[in-house]
Amino acid sequence: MNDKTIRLSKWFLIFGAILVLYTLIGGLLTPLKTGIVGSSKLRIQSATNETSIFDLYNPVKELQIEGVYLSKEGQLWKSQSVSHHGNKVEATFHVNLGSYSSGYADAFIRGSYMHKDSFVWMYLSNALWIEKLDNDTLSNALTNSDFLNTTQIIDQVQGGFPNRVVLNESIRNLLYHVPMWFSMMFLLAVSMFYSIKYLRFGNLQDDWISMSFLHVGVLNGILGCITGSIWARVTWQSWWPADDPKLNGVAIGMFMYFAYLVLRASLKDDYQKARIASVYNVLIFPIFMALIAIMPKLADNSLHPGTGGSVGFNNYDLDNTLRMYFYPAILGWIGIFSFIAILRFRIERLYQKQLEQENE
Amino acid sequence: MKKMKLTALMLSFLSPALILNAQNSEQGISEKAAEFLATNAKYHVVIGVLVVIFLGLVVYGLILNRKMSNLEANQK
Repeated sequence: MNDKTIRLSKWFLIFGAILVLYTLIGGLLTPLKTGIVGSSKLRIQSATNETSIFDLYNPVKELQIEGVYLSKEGQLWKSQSVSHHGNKVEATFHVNLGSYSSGYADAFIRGSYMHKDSFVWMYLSNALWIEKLDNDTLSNALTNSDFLNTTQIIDQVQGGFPNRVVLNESIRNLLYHVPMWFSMMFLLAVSMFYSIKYLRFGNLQDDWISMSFLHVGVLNGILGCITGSIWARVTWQSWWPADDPKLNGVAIGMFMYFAYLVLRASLKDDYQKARIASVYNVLIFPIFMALIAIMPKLADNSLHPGTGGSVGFNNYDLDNTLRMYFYPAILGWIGIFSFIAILRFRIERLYQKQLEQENE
Repeated sequence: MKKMKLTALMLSFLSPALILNAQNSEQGISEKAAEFLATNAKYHVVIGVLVVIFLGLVVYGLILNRKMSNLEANQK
């Protein structure tokens, strides 16, 4: 690392801070799209008039509710009447299942958006259970569902962050939790690069750079664990779901890096310390990447998106509004933590020079 | 020197990500809390305080950077 890069490091901080500030303000002020968050009744009976109240999140005045639909096994039942007040949609149903058996139904709320010819729908999976009664013999499901062809999902029309049932407002954490891991991977990759450089040229400064980037990378990992743990508590009801392959991979990987710190601290001779630590660093980086990026993808089940057969963020939740803040957040945090790593290296270099001068 | 090392680490530890996560998780738990903050304009105050803390940390980082440059120049 030359003096020019060190002089430039303050710009890493400034540009990083501008990007993070942009994601901080924009990421918190952008509202969530309108969505259904729940139903007052979890169970209704067929062949009976039943009323249920659906809760909307962030309803907008441009949305005029037209009807609530229940969907089960490809069939649709429309509400007989519907009224909309604020974030409450009250719907009365008279569902005849006919030949269909009891079971969970999904709820769709359909409404016009902006003008009366533009229709959108919102969706709640497994909204309520329909219990079939004995006098229910003939289905009254809709025979014509052509109107659905001209109805768009609200996500495609409305601006804002995606409104997901489990994630809700916590989806904003994507801008802080995930960039920590990206930043960690970047810093650990730089650390490994300088370890290889040290092994090739034997310059102790390369070892100090490698160590500094690794220290800040590990710190990123700890921050990623803390931010993820809080998010997991909110969405998965557990601080650390033990059977998630990604979390187990991270735990093993972090301990490997803690072992690096212990290994370094246990050696006295600077050159021996640098050589052994560099070899160990080069060895564990690919293993760590395999543990957090490859192994979870091969696992059968995982709570994390894009792993173990679950749907990736990219396909499902990461829409363009979120992307506008997500990518700058990654670059911003990488910039800030790179500045801290370089500062850490400069302190180490200064300390070593001071020791040298004292010895002379 | 140890104090400076500690400060560099503190810079990263005090990053607002932690504060933001605590705030976001609260919103996830209780919609009413989010609604309360939004309706009485406290939400903007929270964002304002976070921005001020963050800017403070950035300025502190720049001051540290300048101090390091002076120390390096003196050593040369």
